[in-house]
Amino acid sequence: MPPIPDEDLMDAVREGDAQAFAALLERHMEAVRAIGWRMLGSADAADDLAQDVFLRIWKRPEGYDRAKGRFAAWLRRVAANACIDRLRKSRPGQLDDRMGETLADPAPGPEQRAIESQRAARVRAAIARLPERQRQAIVLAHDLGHTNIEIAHIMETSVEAVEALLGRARRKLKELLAGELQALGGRHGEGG
Amino acid sequence: MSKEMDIREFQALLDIHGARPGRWPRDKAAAMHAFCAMDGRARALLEEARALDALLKDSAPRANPQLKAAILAAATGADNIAAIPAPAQSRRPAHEARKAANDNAARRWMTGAVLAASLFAGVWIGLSGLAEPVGEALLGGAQVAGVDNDALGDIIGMASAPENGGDLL
Repeated sequence: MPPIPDEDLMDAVREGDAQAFAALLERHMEAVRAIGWRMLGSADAADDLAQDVFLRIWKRPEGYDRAKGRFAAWLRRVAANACIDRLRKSRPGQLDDRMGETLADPAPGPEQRAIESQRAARVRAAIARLPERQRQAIVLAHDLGHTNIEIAHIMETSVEAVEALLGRARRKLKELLAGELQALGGRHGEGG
Repeated sequence: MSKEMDIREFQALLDIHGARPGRWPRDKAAAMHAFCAMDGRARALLEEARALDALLKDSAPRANPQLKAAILAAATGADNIAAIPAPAQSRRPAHEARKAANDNAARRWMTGAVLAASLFAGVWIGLSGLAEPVGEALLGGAQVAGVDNDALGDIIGMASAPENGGDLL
């Protein structure tokens, strides 16, 4: 049996169907968290964002109008806009300071795990240094696997603009992560 | 076709689309593969793009298994999906349950208001010197001049008892 479309689940949520809400949460919560994590820079902020977004959907399901497009695209737009609102409310510089603390989070355990955790933290810090729109495009493309056409729809811009954002973002990331790339490149080369 | 591609275009395309051929534009993919096969610099760029993709993938957000339950609990009162009734039963009842909860709340509020008013009237009747006219007005001219607060409390208790339909007041 094919899965119930998100849009039909939203119709049910409008009627107070808690299980339909749970199904939407199951399908989309991690995507909203991913947007929050990358854009706001911490797991806690991502969790808060996901909670706010989904509680808003439960309390005001009429906020989504299926005539305006797919639920998934609308939800990602809502999440990204909520992140941008939060970033604008925070004082300049505050985000980077907070991220420095949050991202220096070496996981306990074997040495290799610690190295990988530190590397992941440096990558997250590099992504955090990207301008908002570039960061958003990277998250949608790499973390969530959206096509450039979908990203253009979510970000309410043209495909050409998305391509420009992704190109600039990846060039900047290569620059910021040159050491990491060199280490990984060497390993790839050794592996064949 | 590969002659039409140069290293700068190849690099620009990798910057935009990454190393996964599945994300490459269909009209460019064949040229990119061909260029890569014949140009060592292109292969090096592709390796670099793969490494960047790998870094991005490895730093992806970790899942938070507790969050789903927390959001469900905050929104619906159920702490896990299994605790929510099946859709066929829950769709309408959940909607009606919300309405019923509101109706019950309104009913309880009305009951409380009537009881509070009665109690206030009783205290006032009992303590003020205006017992007769107020009692007559409240109870339709019954002989209440001698009704004290205890008796009024009994009346209120009877009226609010469930077996007497008290919660429908």
